Amino acid sequence: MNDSCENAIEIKGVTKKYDGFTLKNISFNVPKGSIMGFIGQNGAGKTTTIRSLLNLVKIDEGEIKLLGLDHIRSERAIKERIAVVFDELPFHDIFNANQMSRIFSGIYMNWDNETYTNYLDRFQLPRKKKIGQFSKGMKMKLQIACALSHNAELLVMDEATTGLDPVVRNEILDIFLEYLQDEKHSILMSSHITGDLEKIADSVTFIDRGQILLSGYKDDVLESHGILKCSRRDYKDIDPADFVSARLNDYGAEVMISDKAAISRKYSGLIIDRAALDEIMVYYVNRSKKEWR
Amino acid sequence: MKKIGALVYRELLISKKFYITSFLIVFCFSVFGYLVLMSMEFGNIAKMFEEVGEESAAVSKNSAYYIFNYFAAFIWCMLFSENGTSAADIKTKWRLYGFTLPVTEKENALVKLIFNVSGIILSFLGAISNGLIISAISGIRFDLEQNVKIYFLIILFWMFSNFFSSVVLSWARTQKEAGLSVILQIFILPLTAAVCYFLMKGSKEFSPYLSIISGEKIEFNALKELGEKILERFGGFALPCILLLIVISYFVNLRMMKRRYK
Repeated sequence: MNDSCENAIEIKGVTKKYDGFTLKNISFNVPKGSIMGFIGQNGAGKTTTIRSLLNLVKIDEGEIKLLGLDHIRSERAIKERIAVVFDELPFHDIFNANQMSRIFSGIYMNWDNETYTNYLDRFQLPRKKKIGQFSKGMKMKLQIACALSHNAELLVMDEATTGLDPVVRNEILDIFLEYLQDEKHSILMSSHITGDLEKIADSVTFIDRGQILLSGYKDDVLESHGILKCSRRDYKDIDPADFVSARLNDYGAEVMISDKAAISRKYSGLIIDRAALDEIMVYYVNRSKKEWR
Repeated sequence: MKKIGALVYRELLISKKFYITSFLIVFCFSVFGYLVLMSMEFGNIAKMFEEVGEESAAVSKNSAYYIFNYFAAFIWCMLFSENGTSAADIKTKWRLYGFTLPVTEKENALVKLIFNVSGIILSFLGAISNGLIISAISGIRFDLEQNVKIYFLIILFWMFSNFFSSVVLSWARTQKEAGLSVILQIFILPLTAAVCYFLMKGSKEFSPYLSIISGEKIEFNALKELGEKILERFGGFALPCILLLIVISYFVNLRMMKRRYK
């Protein structure tokens, strides 16, 4: 990752301890003008990491900077410039879209009502209908409309597309791509729906059991990783140090490798298929077992 | 100020139903009281009084006056009790989301203070208005100084009973934690009454009245005497205690709101 660019998010050595779970030495950067996909299975530590950088939980160790500012000392200034979208709409059911505009126009200095109404029109959201009567997709669209209507430079999303149908997810992803076009905006998006991140993320960070497994540009990650398919006999000839983990079945093995170029030179003749992000995640999650079914 | 205005607007929208319901309850109770007192003066109850004699009629009228004056004041105090927004904020996760907004704990605590103080003022004005109407109907003289002290004592009692549960709600981050405030509310009123009882028991001045109010037949005159003694002793402290509790509530709320998630 290019550390010389200005970063929207800088996380260094963040540790947070709970009973039975520890977020350990989390470090990664989100370059300005990019979208980072933060991937992990349920319970991996994505939400804890996001809550840490938003100062919703106190970290035990480490340093966090958002938009170049310390996340605690400059909390109020940061929060004027960022927007957060959660997996569930945190607005009361009795409000309507017009009332939300009135509330946020008082809270945010840079609230832009014209942008907000444009999003409402684009998402076809009724202005006077109570939020409680919205569908899940409509609620998420409203939350996103509110998030994008105060000129936020950084958008932090925690599982925001979970539970939405593919049509709505696609619509929302297109909005994010537009948001990033001027290269002044950045997005950190946590999800376990890797298909979405494969479409729009510039970089990805994998987290599992409170630790970062890998972090890098998405294209580099996809290019360097692959699934080597071979017979059980050929599998026995592969050095365990050369792969992340292997999925065995009665007929052969599917082996996740992290350096496609080197492995294809070393084990020439074996087929290496392209790996998708969700496959990479699954194999990394099972890395401690090394072999699994 | 714009932020405070927005937050006040939000809280008003959420608690609109609560306030309307509270007003309706106190209004219905007050109107019921007016009708009873009017009946005592001009209606069917007045005819019944002719049969029981003047002394009994006077006792009944005075009892009704006290009930509909001071119990209504007690109900008016609902206006500054917990209006449901804190619990709703925890349920909808606005409390979590609120930490991502450029709103400080001071601004949030100030909004709570505005609602607290407004509620106290409205309760007080409502109680005074009701008291004046009740006095006009019943013909019993409205002693402003005495009634103001009584209303302040009632407000203080209610504020104290609400204090701990509202602190828990400021502190709570999950619904489970918010549930503690409900448990507190259930126990705090009888607990306060129990504390008052034991304080009276230990006091030479008030302990003789205990046998009267806990006996089989509660004597109205003795109860009135007890009330006057309490008023004489503690009435002057009520307003300063209310102001002190408002200030303490603000700072305690502020401290509780700074608590983040685990």
